[in-house]
Amino acid sequence: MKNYLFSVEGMTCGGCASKVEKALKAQSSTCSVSVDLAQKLVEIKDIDKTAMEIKSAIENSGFKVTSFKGL
Amino acid sequence: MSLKKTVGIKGMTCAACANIIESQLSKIDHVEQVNVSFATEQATIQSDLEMSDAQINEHLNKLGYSIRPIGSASREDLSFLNQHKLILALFVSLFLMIFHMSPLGHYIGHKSNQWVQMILASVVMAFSGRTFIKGFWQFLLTGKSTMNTLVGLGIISAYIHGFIVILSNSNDPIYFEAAAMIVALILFGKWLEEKAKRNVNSELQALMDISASTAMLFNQENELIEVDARSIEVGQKVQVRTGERASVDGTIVKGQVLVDSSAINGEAMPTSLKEGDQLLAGMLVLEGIAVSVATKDGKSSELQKALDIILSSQSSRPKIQVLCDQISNVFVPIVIVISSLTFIYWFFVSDIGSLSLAVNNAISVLVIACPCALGLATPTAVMVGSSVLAQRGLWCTDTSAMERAEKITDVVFDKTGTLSQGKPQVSIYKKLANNHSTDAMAYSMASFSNHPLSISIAKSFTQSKLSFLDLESFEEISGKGIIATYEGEKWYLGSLKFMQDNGFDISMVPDSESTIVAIASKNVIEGLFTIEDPIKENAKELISYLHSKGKTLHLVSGDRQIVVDRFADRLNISHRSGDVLPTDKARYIQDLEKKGKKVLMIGDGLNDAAAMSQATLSMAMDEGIDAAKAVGHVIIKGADLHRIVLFFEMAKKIMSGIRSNLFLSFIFNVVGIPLAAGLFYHWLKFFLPPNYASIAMGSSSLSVLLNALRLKHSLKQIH
Repeated sequence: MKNYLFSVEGMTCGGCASKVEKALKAQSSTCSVSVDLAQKLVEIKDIDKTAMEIKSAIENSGFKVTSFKGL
Repeated sequence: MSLKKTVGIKGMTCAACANIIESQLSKIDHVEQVNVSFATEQATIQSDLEMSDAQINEHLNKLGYSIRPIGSASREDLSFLNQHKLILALFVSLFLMIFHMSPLGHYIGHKSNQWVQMILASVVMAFSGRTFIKGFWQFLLTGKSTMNTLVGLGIISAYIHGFIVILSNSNDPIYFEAAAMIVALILFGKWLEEKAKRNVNSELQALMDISASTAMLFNQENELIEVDARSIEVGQKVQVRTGERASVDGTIVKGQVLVDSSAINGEAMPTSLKEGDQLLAGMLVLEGIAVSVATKDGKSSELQKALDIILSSQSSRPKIQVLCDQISNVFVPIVIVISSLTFIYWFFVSDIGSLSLAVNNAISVLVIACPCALGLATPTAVMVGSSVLAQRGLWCTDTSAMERAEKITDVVFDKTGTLSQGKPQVSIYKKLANNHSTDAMAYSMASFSNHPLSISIAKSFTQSKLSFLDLESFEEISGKGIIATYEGEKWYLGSLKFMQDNGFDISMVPDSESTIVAIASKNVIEGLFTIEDPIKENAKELISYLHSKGKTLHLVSGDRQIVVDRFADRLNISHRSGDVLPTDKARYIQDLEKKGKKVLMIGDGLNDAAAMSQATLSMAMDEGIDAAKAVGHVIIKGADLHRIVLFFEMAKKIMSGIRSNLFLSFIFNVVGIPLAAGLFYHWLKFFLPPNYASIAMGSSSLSVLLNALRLKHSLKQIH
């Protein structure tokens, strides 16, 4: 299990945030996701996926990942 | 704003009809331009206000025509009634011939025989010959003449002449049988013509047939229902299975299919499509099942746009036809004058003349004259041509393109996306330091980014079976490069400028005309990628083909001069120019044209639009993403350069097809009319009977159509 902080562009409202959250939960149901719209940050905890898999999950839901780091 | 609309038209009998409709529809308010094609039986109307079918139909009805759905082709034209007209005319005419020739004539007596013939002729005239009489009547009312006017005038003259002979108790021969026979033979000729026309039309039909009419749609309850493909809206889900054609453009969301897309882009090999791939309308599913989400509504798929382009181009005319139209406009009145002169000569002037001979010859002239063949000559060849071209992935937006292709002296190429693939590829990868994780780092970092250069780097490693490294952090600095951390180490992937900005020493990197991307860590440049845009597969073939045809070639590009020079050298293009802005490209072509050159501009569409509009002929590369964006006279699907060779070869054939068709139709009239008028009597001792004239007239249209079919066959041989 790992923790990440992703910078995601294109999220403008709560709808977008929940879309990202849904996409990530679909990848790994046990993870916890919190979105900071103002900072364009998505914090993901306790996920058993690689950064690449997380990135493509977010991008497939229509947003762009500009950076990430492990926590 | 100007709106274009293409409608099918029912009731046209010859090219003159097309001219009449064209001139009358042009007079309607808001209508800017009208093109009517007799061969396709379609009209393209350009107006600044939307016109409904009903409105157009109303105008057409006034002229004696009506609207019919496009794509129903001329199937209905061979309706029950028409065939019955033909059968009745043939049957009664044969019966009439028996009375006319003997033996029945002697059996019932001369006078009764004449009356029987008149009654039989009346039946044919009233039922089968109505269209011709209507044509004559229309001429009296409006002064507009068509082929039907000539035939109508012919049969009415024959009929009235016979009537006068009977009433005046004279012993002159009568021509009731000719009147009936002409109707029968011309209807027979029309029937054959209709059949041949449909065969010519079948190319277009083949294109129309691939646009599936229904689709399997998931409704709101997630049940599959069959709906009209045109009613599908963006975002709706449809399903396609083995053996079906996709009906809308969409993205696959579930499933995997093997498709035959040859109808859309001419791609001969079956392609495998999976989730996320584009499934376009008209693609045939060979294997598998897929669910796709419509990205365009049912009416605006790529295929539909292609059909629109081809349909409207078929109503546009090559210059060669303009002359032809002018001739056929005055053709009918001139024939009537010649026929009158013939009558006058054989009745009043000639020593051997008589009323019956004068009527015989005058009618023959009317009947043999054939504006039909003249009218069909160009459109049939163009129709066959543009349809075969379309099947080979060459969409003509303007049929004059084939004509222009002959005159081209210079060819100007754009570079990126036209002669080169427009997709960068790593040509050289050089490792500078001996760090074993460099390859895996470059692969992992590049895979994270969507930048074209990153994609090309990631692609270059796909063969080497590297696994992704679980990066600890990743950051993309737009337009510059990527920074990532792995096992506590910071890695950089990006341009040389990016390396310099981050404090790396790049002095040992040699100057290059290609794009260089570096990978670095721990203050050392670890490796260098040389990235180039490779030359397209068929570029060399095209260039040597054009050289062999004596064309002067130019490469004009916005890329740096050094890049353009090297590229031009590899392809053996002598005139080259780099650092050219789009507007300067247009000027480059303008200068060439000013020197009397005829320029073909080949570009990738959008950013070459200005230059293309300046050139005599333009071709746009289209990767099959959006045809509407492409400008130019010809759209090259799949951006395949071999198709340009095909185009030149086919255009040559099509033009010679048009010329031989025109020759055929002219020669028929040039020989036929004087022959019917009795001009050669002195040498031949022979007058052409009216019913023979009607056979000759039918065969002229037929020969033109057969010639078009021959063209279709020979075009299909070109590969």
